[in-house]
Amino acid sequence: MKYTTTPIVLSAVMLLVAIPFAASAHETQRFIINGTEYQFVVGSLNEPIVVDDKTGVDLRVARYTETATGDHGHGDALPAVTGLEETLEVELQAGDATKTLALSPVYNSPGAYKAPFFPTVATTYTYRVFGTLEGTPIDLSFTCSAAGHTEAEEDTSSVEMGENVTRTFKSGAFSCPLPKADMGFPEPSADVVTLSAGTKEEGQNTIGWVAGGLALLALGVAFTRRRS
Amino acid sequence: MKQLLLFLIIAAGIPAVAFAHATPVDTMPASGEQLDTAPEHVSIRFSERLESGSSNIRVVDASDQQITALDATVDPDDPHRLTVPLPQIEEGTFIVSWSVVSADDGHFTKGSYAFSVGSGAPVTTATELSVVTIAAYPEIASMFIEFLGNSLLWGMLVLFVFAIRPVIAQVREPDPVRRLCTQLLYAGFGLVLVGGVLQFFWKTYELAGLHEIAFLDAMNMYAYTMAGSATLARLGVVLFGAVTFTFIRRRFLTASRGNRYDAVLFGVLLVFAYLRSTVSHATANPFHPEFSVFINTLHLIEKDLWLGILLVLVLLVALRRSVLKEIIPRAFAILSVNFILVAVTASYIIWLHLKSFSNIRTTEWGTVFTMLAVSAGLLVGLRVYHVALYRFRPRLFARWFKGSIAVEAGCAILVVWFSSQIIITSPPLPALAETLSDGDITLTSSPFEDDTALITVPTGSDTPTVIVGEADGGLLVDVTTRFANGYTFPLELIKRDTTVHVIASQEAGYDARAAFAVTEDTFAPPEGHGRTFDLFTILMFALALFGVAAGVLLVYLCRSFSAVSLPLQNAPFVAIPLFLLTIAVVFVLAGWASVVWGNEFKQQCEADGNYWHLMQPTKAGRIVSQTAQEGCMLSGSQYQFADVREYTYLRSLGAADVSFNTDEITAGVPTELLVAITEDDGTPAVLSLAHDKFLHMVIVGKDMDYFAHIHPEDDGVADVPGAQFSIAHTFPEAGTYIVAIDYLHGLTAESRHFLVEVSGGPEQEETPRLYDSPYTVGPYEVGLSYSQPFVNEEATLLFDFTKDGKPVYDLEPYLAAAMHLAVVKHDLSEFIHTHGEVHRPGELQQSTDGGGHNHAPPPLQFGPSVEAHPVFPSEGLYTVFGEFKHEGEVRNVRFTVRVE
Repeated sequence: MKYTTTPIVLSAVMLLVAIPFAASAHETQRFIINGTEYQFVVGSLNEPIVVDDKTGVDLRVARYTETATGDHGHGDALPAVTGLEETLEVELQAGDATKTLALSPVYNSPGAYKAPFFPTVATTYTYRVFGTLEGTPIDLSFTCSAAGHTEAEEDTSSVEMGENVTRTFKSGAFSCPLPKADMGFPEPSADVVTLSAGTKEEGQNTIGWVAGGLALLALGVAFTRRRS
Repeated sequence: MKQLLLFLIIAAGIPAVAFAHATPVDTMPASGEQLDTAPEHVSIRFSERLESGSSNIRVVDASDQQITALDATVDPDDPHRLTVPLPQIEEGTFIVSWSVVSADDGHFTKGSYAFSVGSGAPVTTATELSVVTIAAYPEIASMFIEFLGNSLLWGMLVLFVFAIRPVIAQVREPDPVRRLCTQLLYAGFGLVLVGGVLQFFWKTYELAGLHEIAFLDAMNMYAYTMAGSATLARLGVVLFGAVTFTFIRRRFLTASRGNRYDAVLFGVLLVFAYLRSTVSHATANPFHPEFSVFINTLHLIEKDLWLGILLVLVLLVALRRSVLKEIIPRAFAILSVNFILVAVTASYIIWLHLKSFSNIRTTEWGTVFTMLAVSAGLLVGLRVYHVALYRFRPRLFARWFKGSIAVEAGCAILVVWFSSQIIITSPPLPALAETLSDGDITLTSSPFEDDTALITVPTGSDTPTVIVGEADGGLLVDVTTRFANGYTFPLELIKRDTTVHVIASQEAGYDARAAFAVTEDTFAPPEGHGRTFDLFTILMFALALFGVAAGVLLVYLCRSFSAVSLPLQNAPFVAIPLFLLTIAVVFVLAGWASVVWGNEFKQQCEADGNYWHLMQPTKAGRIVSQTAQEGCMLSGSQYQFADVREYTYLRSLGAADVSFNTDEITAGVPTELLVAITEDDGTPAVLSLAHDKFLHMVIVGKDMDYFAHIHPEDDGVADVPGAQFSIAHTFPEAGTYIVAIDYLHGLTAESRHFLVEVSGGPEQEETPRLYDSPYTVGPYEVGLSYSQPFVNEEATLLFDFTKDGKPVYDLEPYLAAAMHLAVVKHDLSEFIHTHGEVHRPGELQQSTDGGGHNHAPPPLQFGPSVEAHPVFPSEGLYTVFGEFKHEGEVRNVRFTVRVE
């Protein structure tokens, strides 16, 4: 009996310990938008995310009230703001590349939206959420943390984010995609971009050899013709 | 004009700083260390081996009383380590003064540092590493004289044996040739003797100064050092050679073939060259010292032979000797063979000492090497020119020979001069730790700070994220900006088998990422000689091979010279002036090159009004690396930057923006004074400790009665998060106050002041108070004397301290200064924060500025006088508030000064 219960207890304890960290792998910001305070919780789907694995923008929006109960920073007990898939879009930014995606509501989770994509480079990603929220234009950016989903220090200072948009609270962080190479098993894994670059190099080498061969051939022909 | 003066000074071989050779690499106790229990001994390990009888450590307490009773001894198992036993000592601060003689190169160095025992005895920030500066010029000059004599000996001897003797039967007047040979050999012996004697006496004079002992005692001490005994041995050998030559002269000069007399004379010169080569930096270099001494011996002979043959040829030209045309082909053949040997030995010596091309522009050795390389390059070019012209255009060669050979001799004499200068210059240090690279990111153990890892990221990166261990969930490391794109963190974090992940985000680009696998040995100092077969080594090999190939070609060309008739009309009036002109022109050219390709860091440092100095890198008076290095010293030795990147970064910071905020202030009620200092772009300002604090705040009431000098609570830490300060203060009375803040921003001391109005409570007096000298505070009476101060002219204020009517000789430093002075104009429009100075006998030249002011930290005890030199910006009445410390208590005095 002793041997059968111990793993279960340990697993339960580990799960309990892990849950807060997993749950905190998101960034929470609150804004007063046109007089109403909203809470945005942003992160990535399937954290920790790895290059070439499916992930996506994970956005949850709720009206914020301090009197609401069960507030763990995710707005699950706050009044959800629904229908934003009609008025908001999300732009992915990585390096100087951008791509705009539509948000889709998450089934059975009012106020939660997602926009799936495959990260192909281990770099810093920014999710820019823009459009209108209940009639007020917003343009908000959320950037992943290279340090992982460490608990960032709470920032309660007021920051003007645009006309009628003031940020009042910021905490937490969500992690950036990890490189794929070190996580492969049983062999090290290469990501698609690297493989593609290798293929290009090989192609360039082949082109180089062919061009060089043709040049030598042309030289030989020219030399022969001159002698004759 | 300034640049012209600069390169003339450099070219003249008068270094602004003489470079030490044996310098501490490890001290026990460490500099600045605060020990709980008293140590039993002081032990210092040096970069070179030490002379046992002439190296010493002296330890004094705070009252300058010597506590070491015995002399220091060199460890028989480690000739680099010097140790002195300590008696039983109590709590207190102690100064360790060391003065040593290197057994490798024979040079002298001295320095000092402080440590303390017990928590109640803080270490003063006064710590210095100085060098004996009198060594440079006389030593270069005496060595040059010795080499000049050696050149004449080798040149004349080789030419006579291998070029003149075979043809002397064909010469019209053989006796004058033999007479000239005799005279030149005697001149060579004489110059070598004079140079050796001068060296011995100069070094004895320096040693007497180093240990503050009598000249004869110093002479005895120096004679037992490696360098001193080698000098005496050289003198003996040369004297033997001169006497022997006197006895065998006729048989040597009249012999028709090689004989034992030749062998005796060559043997004397070989022994001399070996003895000269044993005292050099080659012996301190861990790469096979014996082999390096052998190469040094060969190189010395080759270099001096080249000059010697040219000098004899120029002399024969000037004397219009007909033997000249007979011996030129043989002389050129000898020089061509010599060319091959020089190529090999010179390449080796450059490889041994220079270590990397980057050292040319970053070290003093590199600067002198540039001058040497310019003159040597011209010399090589002229040698090739002479052989080629003789072979292919003999008539043209003959027509120009009387001038061109003088030009070559002029270059050769400068090669020997700059060689004398480079011999006494400390070669660059080897790279100590491995640098790991992954893409554009590097990780290494910082060579400028002990126990510190240094990361560099690509230009344009943000502050990198550094994670030790797993990329997701490892230890997130807090890094400190050291320079643009350079960051540090404690090396202790990665002294184990782990992975260091570095992620640096880029503007409009993907992150730069790197993962470094490290072990506990990754950054351990390399064992053995520490040299690797790197690109520099390959290039030096290539240089040697190219030189050998060129030399072989020259030898080949020399085999088919045709006879020429040398027109020697007006030869003395062509050769001698051209010889002197060449020396002057090439001298200036080499100096110019050393400025253009010289050590830009040093030039920038000195242009900023700072000092280039060899010492342990120091920040805010605290040594950050135990390895002494060349670098830029400022703030009276409070800071020394060995890393040009850090110095450049700190000096590039523009003036900071300061915001000062406070709520409405009520007299008698504590108020928060908020200060935020930012860079132009709004990021927190890069602040350094100045007088032990990041921020000094002085508050003075308009009535000139209230005075406070306060600091924020977060002092003493390595960095100030956000450069934001919150200082609580209670203003005693209502009215206007001046609130002044001082801070060190990058390398610049900046000051701002603000006026605040305080309401409520009793009002300050309407009229500012006036204070006369002397001012009495407790049992102390402080007098202020000065001559009439004028606007924008430096004033001299002299404070004299007495206690109970007796002069105070044991004043103590307060915040690393003899006194802190706040000078406030009565209308509160001007504020000056300056410091008192103490002038000590024998203080470092580098610690004083151009006006003779001493910015060095004060000694542990001083008095009864302190000087200050404020510059008053406008006329009117000022109050000078002065703070001093005695018997652990800080007091302030005030005086009214009228400025006209």
